[in-house]
Amino acid sequence: MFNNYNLSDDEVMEIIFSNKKLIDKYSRLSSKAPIDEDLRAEIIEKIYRTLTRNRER
Amino acid sequence: MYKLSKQERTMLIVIMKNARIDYYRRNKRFFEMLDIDEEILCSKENVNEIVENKLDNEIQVNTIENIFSNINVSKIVKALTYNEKLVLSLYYLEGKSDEEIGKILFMTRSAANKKRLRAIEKIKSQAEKRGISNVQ
Repeated sequence: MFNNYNLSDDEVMEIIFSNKKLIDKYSRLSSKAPIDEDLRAEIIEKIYRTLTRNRER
Repeated sequence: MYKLSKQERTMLIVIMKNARIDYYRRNKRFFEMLDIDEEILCSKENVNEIVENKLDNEIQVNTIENIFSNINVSKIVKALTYNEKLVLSLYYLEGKSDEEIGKILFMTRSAANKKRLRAIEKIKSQAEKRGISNVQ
């Protein structure tokens, strides 16, 4: 799982954009609430950090 | 294009869920400080308006407590929960309908109706316990 060491920034951003709907879904604190922009940013940041963690330096 | 496997997609969902939990926990103190439920705070309505409504509600509850100054009856009223007192006060003192009460307390019409009936039942049972017969 995500043990690909060659994921470039563009590829990571592509993964994030292709899962935009899923991110929007989890950016709501409850089902009726609107999207929380701060939470959305945090989710994107966490995904980016996770996907680039194994990158070779 | 990088295609996610089923496992990777599940992992993404777990990351998102954890991020959401962390975010909520970090801001929990803020939600508690305002004494506003998470759902209300995130609604599109104005927060100031909601806080004002909450203050109005507290006045309503105090009013119903003051009306029943008789020691026995006041004990019965004190046995009710905050929301039950509020519903009774709005229905009987303000003359609001179940639907209007539902809108004020962010619940459905039937929930407001059920809450009111349950409060009446509670009053009746408490009155019987304390030997007060003429509770209508």
